[in-house]
Amino acid sequence: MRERRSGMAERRETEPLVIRLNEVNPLPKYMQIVEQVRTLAAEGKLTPGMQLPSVRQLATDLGINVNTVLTAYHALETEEIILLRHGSRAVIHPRLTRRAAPQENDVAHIRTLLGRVRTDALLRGLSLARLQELAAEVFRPSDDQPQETRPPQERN
Amino acid sequence: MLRTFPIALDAVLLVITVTLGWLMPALTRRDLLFGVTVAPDARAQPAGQAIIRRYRVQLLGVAVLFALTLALLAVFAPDSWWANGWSSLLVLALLLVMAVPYLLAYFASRALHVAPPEGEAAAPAAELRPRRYGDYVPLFWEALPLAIIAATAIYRAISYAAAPAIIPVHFDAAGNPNRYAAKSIGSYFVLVWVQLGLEVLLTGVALLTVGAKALPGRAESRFRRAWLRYLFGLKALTLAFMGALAAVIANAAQTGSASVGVVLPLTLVYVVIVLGGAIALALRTGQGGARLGSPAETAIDRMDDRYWKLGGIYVNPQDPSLLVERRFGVGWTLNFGNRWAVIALCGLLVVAALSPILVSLLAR
Repeated sequence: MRERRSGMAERRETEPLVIRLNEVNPLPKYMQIVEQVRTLAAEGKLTPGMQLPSVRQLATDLGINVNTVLTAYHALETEEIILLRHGSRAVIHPRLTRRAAPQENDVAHIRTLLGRVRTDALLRGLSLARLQELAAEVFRPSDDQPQETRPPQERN
Repeated sequence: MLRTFPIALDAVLLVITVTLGWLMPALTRRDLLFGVTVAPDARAQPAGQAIIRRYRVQLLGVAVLFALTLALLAVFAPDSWWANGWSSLLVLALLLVMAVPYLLAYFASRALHVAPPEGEAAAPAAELRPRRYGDYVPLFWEALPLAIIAATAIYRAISYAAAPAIIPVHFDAAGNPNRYAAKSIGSYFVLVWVQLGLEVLLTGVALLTVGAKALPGRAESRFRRAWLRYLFGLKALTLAFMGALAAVIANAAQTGSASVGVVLPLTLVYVVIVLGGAIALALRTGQGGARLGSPAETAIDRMDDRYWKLGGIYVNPQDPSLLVERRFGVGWTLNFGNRWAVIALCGLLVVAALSPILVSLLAR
């Protein structure tokens, strides 16, 4: 039992999943938490069923109000990223699984979002070339990201 | 004999306290000097070294002063002075006077203060994994302190019937009983009740420590594990020590005097193990795991200096933490800006003040 326990501790040590709050970031603190948990879940670093820290522990470590973390957790629950059960810790939603291939409406949704980003960037005075640079930086694939399978209609 | 034990105890405490004070600047996180945020290499720079050198010279001066006071008292103070326990005030006075070199070093270190890079000052970070007591101390270990309490209770229960109707409950420094009580469940099992109280108190402290504010980093996690295991060892050792006392007192009820020849060395050994163990572990881990991992594995303490009064007292009403890592010292300290932390401290002080009264009530 001890070996299993220390093995668990070692495994945790090798995979530190850290979230950071930044005063310079225009997003409110709860949204910074939401975005970072979403990103970690999307990258497969937070897997279904994985436990998250309690609201009090995360608030203590980040030095922020307990209600801020609670708001973030509720927002993540609404998006079905996490599951909150009364009296137990928050867990990554068991149904949060990466699809084998994106559906047509998923592609349309992402295209709409990217269009909004393009408009926002132009309104803020960014050139398209600068935006493409930023996009290349943000969308740089990481080693631990699984490759997406494109549906047949997207391959042409 | 009356004065030998308190003199020896005071001498041991003096040596251990001054040793810890001497080592402390080398144990804290590399970006902290006497509670002030400094450049990570400040301790190696001439200005930082000069502050540490001055602090240690002053600390040695304090140690010599107290050693002389202890020697004078050992020669000239009457036995009654030692028997009444006044010597424990000496250790308290030592701790107060030791604050002077620290405060001088703190004010000198403020000249070396550096603000963290823009944007990083208020960039708290947290590891996204739950912390549980069982991650640090295997839960089955907890059977040991419970077994010690059970063994003490069983031992007392077996000897209950044979014990006289009036039993000694308090002894002077020579081991002669100076207070008696009628035998009852309350008086005969008083040390078991104290053991149970300590079990609850120290387990509570351990659970609060698990929930204390953590900076992300492997070194911090190892540091927390090492000190929670030390706390567990302290609990088991203290309970075993009380069990041994229970055996000595049971014997005293039969013979009429406690075996001072066993109790006094036992107490000294207990103090040396507990405090010596703390020093050895502090040397191994450093504060926050500063000596356990590479700089990359040790997170930078980004808490703002303005919340640290005199470099050592954390007061931040916006922070929900009850416990935060000490800046000068090894372990954790209270957030005095959190009302629950203040209430917990007051509760602890009330329990500490009332426990002798409670024990004497039980021993009636």
